[in-house]
Amino acid sequence: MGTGTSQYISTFTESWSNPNVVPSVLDKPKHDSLEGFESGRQERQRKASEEDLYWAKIPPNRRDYCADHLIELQRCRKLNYPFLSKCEHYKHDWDHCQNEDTILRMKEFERERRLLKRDERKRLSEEAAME
Amino acid sequence: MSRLALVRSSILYNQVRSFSYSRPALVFARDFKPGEYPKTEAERRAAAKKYGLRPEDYEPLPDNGLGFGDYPNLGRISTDMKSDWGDYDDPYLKRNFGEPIHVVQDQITADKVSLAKTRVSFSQIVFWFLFGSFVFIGLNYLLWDKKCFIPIAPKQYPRNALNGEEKHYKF
Repeated sequence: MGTGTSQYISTFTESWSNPNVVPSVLDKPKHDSLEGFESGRQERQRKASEEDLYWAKIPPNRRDYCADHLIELQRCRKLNYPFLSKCEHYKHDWDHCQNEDTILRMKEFERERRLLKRDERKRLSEEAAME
Repeated sequence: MSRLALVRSSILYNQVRSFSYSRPALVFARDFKPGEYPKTEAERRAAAKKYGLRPEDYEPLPDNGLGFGDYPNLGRISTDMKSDWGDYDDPYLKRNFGEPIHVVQDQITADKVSLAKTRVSFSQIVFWFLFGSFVFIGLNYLLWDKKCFIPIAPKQYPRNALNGEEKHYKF
């Protein structure tokens, strides 16, 4: 067991002992997205419009921020069927986008977790100061 | 009654009838029904001769309401407990010509019930089953609210950001 495994396990074992330190996996984060960023944050954009997604018949669960690459991939596949190995470039782009999206989600989780821990520390220090 | 009468074709299928422990009722054809429980020595010897046993080997099942008249008690030996390598006249029943047939032979053939002593007793089986079930149910009860999950924020869809409430940023 390395530090990675124990850190991974501690993310949910902490939810059993100290639930208000662990971010939610289903709900929106409690803290403001721009808190702590002096120079602000870049917004995520999707170049494809709703109409493009409609005509490309992209299912709703795939209409995320990587849908642009997905539309290109599907177009390539349709043109080159059955030689789908010609679309590896677009597939790699889409996969890379998905990977970046997952990493961003992990970073969001970690950010939320650290903010919650900070709040907890503040609360405990206030309580200690009041006594 | 001759020994030729006690051949495989005369065994009727008694399984269904004899499941009752209080009054076991095996089915015998009329001519092959066992006689009354032998009370005198002469009756014993006659019964032993009838079934093809030596008088000193002949022991009828006890007359306590669960017996079968003068039918001999051939022990709790089923067909699969007999040697596989013996030279039998009838290999399915593992029986030679003239050998007496067990009262419930049709239930204890090699492909049916075995009377061998089991490695695991019935009480052990019951104990471990209940133990496992209570452990499983107990663990479920104790850990029901303690969830494991993948530590990742929910997926971000642009349709939620377009409403204006939620905004998605990069890092």
